[in-house]
Amino acid sequence: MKKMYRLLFLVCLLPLSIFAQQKTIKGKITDSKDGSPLSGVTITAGTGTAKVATATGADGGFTLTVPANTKEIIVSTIGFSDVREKINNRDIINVRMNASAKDLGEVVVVAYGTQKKVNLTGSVATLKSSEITITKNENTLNMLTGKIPGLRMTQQSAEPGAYANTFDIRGYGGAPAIVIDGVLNGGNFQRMDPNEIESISVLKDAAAAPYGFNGGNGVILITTKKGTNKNGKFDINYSFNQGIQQFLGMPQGVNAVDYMMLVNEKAREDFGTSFTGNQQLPFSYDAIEAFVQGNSVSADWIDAAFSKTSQQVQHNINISGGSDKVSAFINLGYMKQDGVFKTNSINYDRWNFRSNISAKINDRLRAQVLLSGYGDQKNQPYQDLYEIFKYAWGALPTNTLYANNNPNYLHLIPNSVNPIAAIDPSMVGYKQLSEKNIQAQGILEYDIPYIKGLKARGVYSIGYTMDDNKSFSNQYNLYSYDPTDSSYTASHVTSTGQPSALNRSFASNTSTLAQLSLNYANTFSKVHNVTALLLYEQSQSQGDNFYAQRNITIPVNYLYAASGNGQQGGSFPNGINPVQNKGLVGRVTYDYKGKYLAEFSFRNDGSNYFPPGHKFGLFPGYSVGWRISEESFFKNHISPKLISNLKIRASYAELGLSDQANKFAFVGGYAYPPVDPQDNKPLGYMINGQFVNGAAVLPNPTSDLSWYTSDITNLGLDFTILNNKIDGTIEVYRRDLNGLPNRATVTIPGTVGVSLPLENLDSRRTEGIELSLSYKSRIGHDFSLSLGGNVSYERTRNLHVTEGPQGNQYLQWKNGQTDRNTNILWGTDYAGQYTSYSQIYNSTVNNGGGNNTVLPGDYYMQDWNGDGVINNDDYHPIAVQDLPLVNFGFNVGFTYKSIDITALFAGAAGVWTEYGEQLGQPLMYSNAASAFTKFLDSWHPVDPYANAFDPNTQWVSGKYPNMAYDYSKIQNSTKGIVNASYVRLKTLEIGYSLPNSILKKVGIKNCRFYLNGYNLLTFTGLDDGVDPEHPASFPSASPDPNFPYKYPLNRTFNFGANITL
Amino acid sequence: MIIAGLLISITSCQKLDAIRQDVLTDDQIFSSEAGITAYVAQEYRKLPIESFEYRPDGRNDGSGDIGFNLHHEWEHFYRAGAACGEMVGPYGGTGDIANGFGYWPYADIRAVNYFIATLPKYASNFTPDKVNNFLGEAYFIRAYYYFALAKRYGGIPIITTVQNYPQQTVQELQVHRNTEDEVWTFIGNQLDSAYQLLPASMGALERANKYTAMALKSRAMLYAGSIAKYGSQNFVDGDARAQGFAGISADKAPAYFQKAIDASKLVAEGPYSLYRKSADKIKNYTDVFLDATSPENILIRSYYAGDPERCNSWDATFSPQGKLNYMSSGGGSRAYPTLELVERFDSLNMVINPDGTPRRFDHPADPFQNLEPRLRATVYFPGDVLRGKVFDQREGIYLTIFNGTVADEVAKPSGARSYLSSSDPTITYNGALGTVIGGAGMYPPGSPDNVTRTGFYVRKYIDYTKTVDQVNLFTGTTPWIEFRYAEILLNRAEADIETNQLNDALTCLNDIRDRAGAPALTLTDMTVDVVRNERCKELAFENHYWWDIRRWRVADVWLSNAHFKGLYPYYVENEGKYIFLKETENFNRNYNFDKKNYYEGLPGGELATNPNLYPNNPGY
Repeated sequence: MKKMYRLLFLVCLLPLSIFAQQKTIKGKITDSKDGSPLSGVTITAGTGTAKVATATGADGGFTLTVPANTKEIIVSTIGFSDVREKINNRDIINVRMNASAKDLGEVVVVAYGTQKKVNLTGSVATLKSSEITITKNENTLNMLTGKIPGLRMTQQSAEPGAYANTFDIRGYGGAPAIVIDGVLNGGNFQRMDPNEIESISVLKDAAAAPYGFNGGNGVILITTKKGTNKNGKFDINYSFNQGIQQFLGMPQGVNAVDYMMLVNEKAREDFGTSFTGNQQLPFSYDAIEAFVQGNSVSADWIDAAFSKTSQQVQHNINISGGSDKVSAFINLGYMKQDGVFKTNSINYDRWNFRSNISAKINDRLRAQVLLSGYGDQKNQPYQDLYEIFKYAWGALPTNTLYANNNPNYLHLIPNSVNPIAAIDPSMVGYKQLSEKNIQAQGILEYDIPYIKGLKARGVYSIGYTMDDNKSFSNQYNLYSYDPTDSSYTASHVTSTGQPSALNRSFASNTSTLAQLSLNYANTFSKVHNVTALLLYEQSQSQGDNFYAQRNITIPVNYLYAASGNGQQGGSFPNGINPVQNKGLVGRVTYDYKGKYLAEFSFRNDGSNYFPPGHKFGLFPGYSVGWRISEESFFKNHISPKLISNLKIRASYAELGLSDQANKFAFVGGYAYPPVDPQDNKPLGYMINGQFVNGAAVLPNPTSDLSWYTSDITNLGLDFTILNNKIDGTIEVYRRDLNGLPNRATVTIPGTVGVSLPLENLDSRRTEGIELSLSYKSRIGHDFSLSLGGNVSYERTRNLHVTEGPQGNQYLQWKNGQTDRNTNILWGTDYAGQYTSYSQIYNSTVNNGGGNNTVLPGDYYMQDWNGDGVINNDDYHPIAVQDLPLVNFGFNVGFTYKSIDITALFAGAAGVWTEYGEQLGQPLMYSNAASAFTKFLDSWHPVDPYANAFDPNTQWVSGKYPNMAYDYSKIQNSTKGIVNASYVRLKTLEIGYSLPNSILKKVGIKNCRFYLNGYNLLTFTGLDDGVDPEHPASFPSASPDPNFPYKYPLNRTFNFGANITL
Repeated sequence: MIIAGLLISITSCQKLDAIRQDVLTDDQIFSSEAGITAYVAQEYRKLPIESFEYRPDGRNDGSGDIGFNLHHEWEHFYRAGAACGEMVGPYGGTGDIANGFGYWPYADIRAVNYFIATLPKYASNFTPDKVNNFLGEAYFIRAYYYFALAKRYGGIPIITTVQNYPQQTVQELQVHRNTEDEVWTFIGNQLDSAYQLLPASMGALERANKYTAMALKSRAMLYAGSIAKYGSQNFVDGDARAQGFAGISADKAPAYFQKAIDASKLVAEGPYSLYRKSADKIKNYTDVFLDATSPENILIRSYYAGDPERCNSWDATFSPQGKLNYMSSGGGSRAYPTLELVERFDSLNMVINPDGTPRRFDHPADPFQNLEPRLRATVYFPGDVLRGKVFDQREGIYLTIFNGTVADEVAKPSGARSYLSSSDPTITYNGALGTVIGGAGMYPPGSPDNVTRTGFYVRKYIDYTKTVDQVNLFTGTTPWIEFRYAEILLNRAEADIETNQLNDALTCLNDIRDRAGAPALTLTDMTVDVVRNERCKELAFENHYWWDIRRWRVADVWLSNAHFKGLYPYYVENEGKYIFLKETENFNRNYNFDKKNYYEGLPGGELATNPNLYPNNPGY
């Protein structure tokens, strides 16, 4: 190790003159975070043969004798930024060191081990604990947004306990493998207490090769905190965070008068109705006047159902420390999040624990026991959440909340979904979803005697997860009022349409992992550094589940008290299938003087998903690096002040991806029962009053469908320039997926009754570029500044898709998929709004129906192919339906004395969305749904009783077309599909640490208070007040019509403190 | 040591041999009657029974069961009868369904073929009788698929074995069409085999027995007979016709008709009779479709409100939902019986005075009190009561009555008429009458089409015992009756009349008319038209009409520039009376039938993969 440090000094040291006179400097080195002494810190001064060095002892103290004219000392240790301290005639120099992410001695976690960051040849992005926790969110995944180049992340909602995200690495498309403390799927990353996390590494290229089948979409490695040697002492850390959530993009509904006016307008503007009979307008003058005068009261359903703000709180206590024999990190965390409903009927809480204990049994043998777990519970009303939003947004302001405005009688309104009842568990019932997980891992590590640098390591891990859910659908009453006899009539309502029922369901999963490895590290002839790893692991997991349901006639919420009616029970076939893996992993790294770097790794991976003969695959990864800055020719010509580190690297790996959708495709037989793709329930037939599960012959089994391969090539450039102040990385990559399953185009006639089996036929390519830069500077003793930013771009292209020829060239262009970017959306270009009748009459383009029904204010499209009519032939690529193509983040941090400020901006570009349903149009379902206030800004005649089709009618212009406009016309156009690029202030944190002088008196090591905001500001081109990340129809391969009604995202204001005793 | 121990425990290497645990093998399926039942449950689920949820436009909602989505389809008003004048509804015209949806159930046929080929290997698990019964059921099921194919396409390939690729070459698999005559003959023979093998009961009304096989044969042979006879008179010529793929020579007709009669007579040997439990003829006929113990039921399809919920939505989607929760808590109607259908029973001329002016009625229910009980049980008229609520429907209000005759009034352009109307059933006029159009009132086009536009509502299959609360989407458990004895009598009567066996026809018809509460006919009444009219009345809304007017080859005549009518109630305010005008339904849809649609074209995708399927049917 010492040799390596020397190497570093070569990089860091400035040329110094050599003098003979000596002086002695003493001092103490402490951690700036908590003031604890740092042992083993290297203090150096001088250069070349005049160089002197020492290291701090356990108390952080040091003594160093230096030439008298030495100007500065250099203080360095792993994990902290180097400090250059001017001596300025001092004899005693105390230095506080800041933890650093960009230290050249920094060690990063890689697959099955660690490597010095400076020696990395693969693409590995890392985050430190402090960089993660600066963002405060209920979902750990959201704390990564904007911080890792190439991580594409969309938060779909802030629904408590839903953990709704879509994300991938570099556009690879599938979910990356998540490895916690060396165990694949060993826990649940989103549900982790962020205070437990020491670091995160994201492996994006050949660095993931040791994960074989699971590595093709990249790997996220999470390492938890372990106790460190503190000379038998422990730190006790307590932190809390109190947050207030605000909900983003919550729309506002029109009032009753506006609703009635809009409906009347629509009737006049509808070509179909306004030309027949003597139509009464839907709302008479008297009916509207009643609301204007206040005789009738407009209902604000949205306000009645949804809160403006709600609470969120987190507490965490942990103990960390130990001696050189035993050290421990023990953590307990709790969080609770309330929701948007007025009744607070949706909420979530979670506790986490972790106990990581390391022991040194003797000089050669070390042991670790890692235990962790979490338990959570989500409560929500029984009514599907999307329905609550759908019906609260749509409920008419002309309907009263209560029948006859008597609060004892909730009003029966159309669809029998009164939002007030739907958010109230005492009416509609509730759902309770809880999950508990426990992970246990034992590790033994042994330094094998006689062979220097050889270690053996054994790991056994077991994980158990159980989901225990309870849902209660309650029958309740809604009332209608009859003024003629002042009577209330009750309607019995359940959201299921069935009697009150209680459902319990239980699912469990047990997984185990066993690992044995040999590690070797040695240096030969002082210049050849070699490490090697050989590892065998096997893992398996198995799930099971069942459920039971009975009708409830007396109000007791347990199955025992339920009636025998409606008794049901069963199990779901998905989730019970076994997963088995085993793999042999090898890796060799070599470097010559830290200058020329090479690495080779492989995994021979096996999985039970594939047919006999195809169960195993070999996945190699290769990478090389060249630290040009270490070459003497480089050093001779370029000052290390300008460029202190310059490395180029290249990697290539052939990884695998096990295709989840087609796993076990080689197994023939019967699906029993076949499962309905729409409701996931068994399919069968009623015979003699019994539901009989069907047995359906599975499609043609395939004897050789196997994994597909993921070939990743990566080129990277790392540099540190300008006095070590700027670090940067540029990477370009290409990932080819080969062997995607499809069916051959040799089609057999339908009369055979089966289609051809799937084969590994198609291929796809993803390419992209990533750039990250960071800047760190310290000005004087009190002020430091850090800046950082990253941006990435990716695009995926189908190389080959097995497909038949199209009928003509246009269709070939439009429908052909081979050699074509993926996820293209086709449509027409929006051209403008008609502003007058004459513009409509003079239009040479037929916008449908010969423009007979077109009115001023209607949208029109560009006649792209110039044939005089707008139809499908005008379709051309207009957008991409995917996660954002460009993702970026930018952070700024200052510290001034005890104050620190950090801001993180994150954003995305190259992303499109389409807001359907009520977000996109007013008065849906033939006026059965109301409208949002934004639609008041619409075209309408000056005289509300004027004939809209009379060319003399005068119009008031607006942003939206008239109420009768058919919004389906813009569905496939650049008017309907809009660019949802955005930048937002994801995190802003202002912290204040109490000065040490005060803390010492009360025996506190560290105390910091902060104010923090999440999603504070959003800048977007979307002008409809909708949050750009809120899912609409996109991004999703199969758009869900209920997406517009998804729970909103939040903005949070947090206050908190960290205290270390 | 510890490491070594770990090493030993680990190296007891796991095999990667665990496979999915949610599949069964032939051994498991064919080892027990329960396994067989699971197999046939899947086949019955896929059986092309045109029950409540059948969508003749073949809507593909992602379920994979195009046209026959048993579990998620709720828009039952998309009925075939609503595209051709039995009802008017959401379809714009006949063309919406006439080209079919490419029904091509060879995957299901393969499953039956596999069953028939595999069962004998496991015969030792069952008694010989059981094996025969299972085989007989499979023959019935296979015949049913071919029946559904033949009535759409005529001649199609008959596949009775399990084909495999690449064991068989693509060329071998590119089979030719069988002639239409061969297909219908095959269906008849399959059902004869089924009759021989099946017992008198399979223990469930949802499963076929020997009489069910003959019921299907009765229907299929009647179809074949009419296609041979009338398809030889009214056709589009082409290669497929010349080669016998679309069309049967007329001389085959009598034999097919006779087979229909013979099969019907075999059904009569079974335990079936017309439902006559109630003395009240209206109630009795209503209950034919609701009473699970009806002796008339030969094969039914059942629904289930438990878990997994498999319900229909008939009650909800044929009950008015104009005003909030009027007669159902969700859904709402969109298809309505036409005046033409009602007039098959009764001319309804009592609504017009001899001088052509509208007759005034004190109460909206007055004109309908003495109609045939079967009609009253088939259609809901103004003033009828359901779930405690009155069918209250109007086109609008005349403040004073118009001058002149009804004919003159309804001939005026709609804008020139002087009544008040509304597009919302909650809009009132002076408060006196309730609302302008009534709670079940009549919307103009463009408004939500969930109240009548003919003045009538469907009553057949409507469960009057339910409360409004209980009626919603996916809450209906009334079984669909696929074969009932009345149809067999009508099949027999029609085949009789086509083969001049008038006495037998009269007996069958009068049995039905007696139960219907209609006067008996005499031998002199026995004509093809009378028998067909009786069939249209008795089997209204049961998804027969569309196929009947095709096989009679009358669709192109009956649906030539056709507009259908309703009976429109109005309130005359100054007189305080009701009048009823026969008017073209207010969507004024125009119906036509293209003669080539007597056959559907073969699915384009199938022609692309198998050139031997050419020639396609004439006109395609």
